[in-house]
Amino acid sequence: MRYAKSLFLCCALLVAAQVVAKDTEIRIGVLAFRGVETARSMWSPTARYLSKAVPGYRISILPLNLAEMQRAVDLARVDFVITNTGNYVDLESQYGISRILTLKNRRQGKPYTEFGAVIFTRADQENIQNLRDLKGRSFMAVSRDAFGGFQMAWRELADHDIDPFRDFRKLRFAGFPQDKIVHAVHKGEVDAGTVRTDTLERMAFEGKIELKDFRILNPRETAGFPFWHSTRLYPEWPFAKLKHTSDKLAQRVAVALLTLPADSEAALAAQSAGWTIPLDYAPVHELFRQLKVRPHDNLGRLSPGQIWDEYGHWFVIAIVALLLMIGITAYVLRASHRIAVSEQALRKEVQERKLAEKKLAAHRDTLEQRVAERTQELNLLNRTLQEDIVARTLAEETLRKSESALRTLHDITSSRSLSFTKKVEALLRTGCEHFALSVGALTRIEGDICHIQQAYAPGGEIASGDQLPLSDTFCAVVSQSQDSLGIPDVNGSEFSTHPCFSEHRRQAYFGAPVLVSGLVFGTLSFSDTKPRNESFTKVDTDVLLLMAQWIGGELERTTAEARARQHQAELAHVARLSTMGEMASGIAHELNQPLTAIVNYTRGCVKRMRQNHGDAKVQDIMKKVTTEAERAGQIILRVREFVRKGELRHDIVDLRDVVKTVTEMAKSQIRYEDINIQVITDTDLPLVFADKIQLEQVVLNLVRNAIDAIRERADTNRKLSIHIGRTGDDDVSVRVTDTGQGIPSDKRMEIFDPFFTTKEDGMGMGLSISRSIIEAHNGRIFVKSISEQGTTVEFVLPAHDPALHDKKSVARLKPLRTRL
Amino acid sequence: MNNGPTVYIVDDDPSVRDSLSWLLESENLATSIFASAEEFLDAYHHEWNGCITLDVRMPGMNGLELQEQLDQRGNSLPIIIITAHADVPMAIRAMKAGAFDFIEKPFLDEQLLNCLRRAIKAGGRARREQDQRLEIEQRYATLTPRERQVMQMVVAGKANKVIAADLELSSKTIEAHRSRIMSKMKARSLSALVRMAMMIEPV
Repeated sequence: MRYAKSLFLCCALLVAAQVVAKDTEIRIGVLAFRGVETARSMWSPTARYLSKAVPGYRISILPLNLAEMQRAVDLARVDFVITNTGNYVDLESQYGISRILTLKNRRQGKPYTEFGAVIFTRADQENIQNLRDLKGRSFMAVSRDAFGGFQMAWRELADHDIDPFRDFRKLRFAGFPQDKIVHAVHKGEVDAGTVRTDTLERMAFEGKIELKDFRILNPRETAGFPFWHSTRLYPEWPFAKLKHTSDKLAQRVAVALLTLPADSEAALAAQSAGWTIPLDYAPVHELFRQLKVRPHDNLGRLSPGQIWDEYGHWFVIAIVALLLMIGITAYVLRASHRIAVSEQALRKEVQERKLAEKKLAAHRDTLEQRVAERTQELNLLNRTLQEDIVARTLAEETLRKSESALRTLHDITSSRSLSFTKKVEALLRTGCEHFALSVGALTRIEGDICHIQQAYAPGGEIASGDQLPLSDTFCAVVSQSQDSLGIPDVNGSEFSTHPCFSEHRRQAYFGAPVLVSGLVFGTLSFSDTKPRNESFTKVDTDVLLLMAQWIGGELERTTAEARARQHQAELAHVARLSTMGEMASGIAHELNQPLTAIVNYTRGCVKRMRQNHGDAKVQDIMKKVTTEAERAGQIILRVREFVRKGELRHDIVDLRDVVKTVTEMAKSQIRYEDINIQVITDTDLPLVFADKIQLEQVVLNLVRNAIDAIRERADTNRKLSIHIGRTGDDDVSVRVTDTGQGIPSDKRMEIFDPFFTTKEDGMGMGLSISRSIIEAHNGRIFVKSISEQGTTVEFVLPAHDPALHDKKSVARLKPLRTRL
Repeated sequence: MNNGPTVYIVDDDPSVRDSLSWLLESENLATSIFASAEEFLDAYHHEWNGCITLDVRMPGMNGLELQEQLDQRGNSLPIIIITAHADVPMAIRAMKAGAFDFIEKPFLDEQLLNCLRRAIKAGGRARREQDQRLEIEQRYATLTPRERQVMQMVVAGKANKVIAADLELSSKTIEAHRSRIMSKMKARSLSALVRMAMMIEPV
């Protein structure tokens, strides 16, 4: 889930960087099979999600019934549709809409991309054991047009030689909800019925029926599909694009929806677990073709054999009728001839006969010509049919290939076990297979050099770590244009003199830029020493761009992570140093007090002894005591000086940035706790001149203390608020307030002392260090606390005054102003 | 309290203040010790004489805040800030706010004593000046409004005739005012009068 989120983020970033901001209205037609309001509440979150994930577009939904859907698609009033499987196939054959995704329907808490129908009877119907036993029985379904509610079952029945409209004693359509059918069968009102898969299980779960009361006819088993079903399984609702919708937009929408988390609001509202790559809807087509229930005006998709099977008897009838007509015509002609002969008498008998013979011959010629024409027409039709079949096979092949490539792509990128490098390796291999090219490489472009970051080259042509002059590669073209480049054969193209061909023998090339934070990082490219037979298709380009986009997104994410890690390490380092310095300071301070007292006492003694002419020997010893105590003081001083040598980096700092960095770190620590962090910022905040890391450390100390304080309370009001504001004339204050137990008033004086702590495992350094840092920045820090109601710790820093804080004066003051 | 110079020690650490008191008394310096700024403020009297040593870092009111409070009460006692190593920035702030000096703990014998002696001396001088100023102010208070007016013009260097013309009075009257001013202010010469005027009201 985390992966999906970050992939989505990266993609969204990439996409955001590429698109010029202009909001285009995009409409998704959704089938409102349970009314407009339900459709709106189911799909509006998806539209909102898409509007956010695909910047530059304002995406809305348009609930439609079946008739309105047909009209909207016909007039291209929508850009995408979400509709049921049956309707989709209908629209696909009529208007050429194409699916880009399939819904992961959430059924009993789990996602399923396929569904079917179940044909059932009462368990005590001993005479009905299989589908054939249904002949002469009564049967109930949803409606003639219901895909899951009737047509799936119809197909299975037809496969068992049962025509539901002829062979049943009675066929009743009950409409929605399907529960009515189940109840009717249970009460014995009808002998059998059919409903969508999981209806029976759901009703049993809701306690409306008991499964043991029913028997499933023609039961089937499908791996990974736990529900009872009697029919083949068909894909769930698709998300489809219309013909006019651009492929680029469709791809972006598809990527956004593919990465929609299963537990997101959009997925839950749609009662789904998100979307997946589109399934094969060919079985649905087959169903309709077989049942002939939808307008499939594309006979061309049937094979000649099927045509004969389907329409053979019509051909026979037509031919018989034709022969019959010829016979009748001949008979009439002959009869009329006889009448003519009897009318004309015998005087011109010979002439007349010759004339008649001529006429007959002419008739015969006409007939022969018509038969020949007809034969030619049929031959032509046959040829066209065959060509259509070939074209369709090809198209299906391409579709299957791109689908499998997308599926592989998805599998690789979403794998949890593979490292980034392994994933890139797998992508390169997949790319080589899919594009039919021998070498794949991810390159990094730095100045004029093209570094091979990672390579897949079974022939060993290149390896990771190789460097090439950029101008020698086609990658130069790709990085310059920031667009994909496909050269199936260099010969005859504009690149026939390019060094990548003349020097490196790359005759086919296919590459796309890899963008990180909107800048060209390098390229993802595939190439071969042999020309490619076919040019690259739109789908190929889409797959390549998708790969390059994913790699760019991942690189961006890892860079950002590395930066965050480095920052944390730096902070931890400073924290360690400060702790050490603070401890040394603390010890020095504690020891200094008694040492001062020793020195004072002994000096006083020496003076008085001198005045009273005391024992010279004792005076001498007392002086030595003084000297030793002073020496101890010097040692402490040296230790302190040593620890103090940390570098300070003063800069102009915005305290809002400091607080933001810290709250983000803190949020990751309390992600599973119910603590609400709130940051309030005054407008018109002055900047300060300070060491940013040290200030972060102070805020982090305060926030950690606050979180610890809140953790000790189990109250509902668990709130940590940070207020950054202007105070006095020119000061900035940061107030950290928690809802913990507060600090007893007698402890309030001590909390800034080194080694003072109220925590069981505390060191007592945090606030002490914080005070040192704030005071080294000419600020002050103090505490307000109301026992039982929480604590507020506030620090105030002077605003940055450019005239006062030039770098030189700070550098000069540094040894005095810091403790590190 | 006594009338001789006293070192007022304010320090929250009992052994430090006790030992310091012991050391200073060995040098025949009178001391008076306080465990907190609050305690000191309760006892404070503006006629005290000597100097104050203040520990910067104390629970409750810290040294700097005490310094501020004393300032508001018109304190003239020099303040010596005693700091632990870490409080250098605070010491600098104290100096800017008018502290006499600051000393880091643990301090060297002679350094501390020298500093104290200089402070006491400066404190004495300041005190004398203050006494003097008080006296002059008391004399000035006995002048009539007209006499004050004439005195301001005399001090500004104007001749009797000019003053007479400005105030539309006779020179004789001015002369009379002038001799009364000199005797009331106990000024033996014009320059002495000018000095007095500068002390009570810096021009």
